[in-house]
Amino acid sequence: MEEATDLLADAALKRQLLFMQLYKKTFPNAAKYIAKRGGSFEEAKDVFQDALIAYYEKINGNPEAVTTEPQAYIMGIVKHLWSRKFGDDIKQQRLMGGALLNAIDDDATQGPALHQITRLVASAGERCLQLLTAFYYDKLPAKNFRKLLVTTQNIRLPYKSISALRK
Amino acid sequence: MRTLLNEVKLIEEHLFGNAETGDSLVVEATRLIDSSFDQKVKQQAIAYDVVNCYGRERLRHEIDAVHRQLFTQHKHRGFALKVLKWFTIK
Repeated sequence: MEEATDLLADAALKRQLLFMQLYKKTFPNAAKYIAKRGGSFEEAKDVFQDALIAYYEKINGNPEAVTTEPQAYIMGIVKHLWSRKFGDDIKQQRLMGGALLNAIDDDATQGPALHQITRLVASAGERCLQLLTAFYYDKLPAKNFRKLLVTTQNIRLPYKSISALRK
Repeated sequence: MRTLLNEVKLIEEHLFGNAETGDSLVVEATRLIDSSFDQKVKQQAIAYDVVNCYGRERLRHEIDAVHRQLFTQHKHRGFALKVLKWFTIK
């Protein structure tokens, strides 16, 4: 299990460095863009963080997916998210009922997922979920897991863990 | 065990769109005639959703920790001021 801890800690450190660098290079521009359009610091933070998540999900496991400079790509997402947010706000003013229905819909879709997480953490163990996340969400290269797989004799750990979650 | 893992692998490839056309057809056909298999496919899809949801929440926490460092630590003071100035001068 020691290798697993190293693997996860190492990946977490790399992410921290990546986000620190992206924050320093791109957040001032994003904040300026949003402030000039009447947005608050909190709104700039939320939009920027969502853009970082979108960027991360785009590049992990496939660094060639983004051919432009990271800063330019992230600013593109920030502008898109901000215009969408602005559009949504106008819609919400006009259609209060619609917004409420959307909120209920969101609850209906997010509720079970959160409930599932709690249940699975209890049954499968948090470490199992962390490893699955490293494999399926962070898409760490399979070779990084090879050592783990040999030591635990679990040649197909991801499939095995997924089948454990499935129950 | 081996059969179970093969089944999980087949369903995974199907859900991720990586399965051979023939395999995908077998999965879809089996779902129609075997409701317990259909249930397995649905639950496995939920498992991936849960992993993604967990991963995204974890990432959100990590990014927020970076944000807090940048706006509270003295060594990042210059950066914080550079950002905050856009929100003070109106």
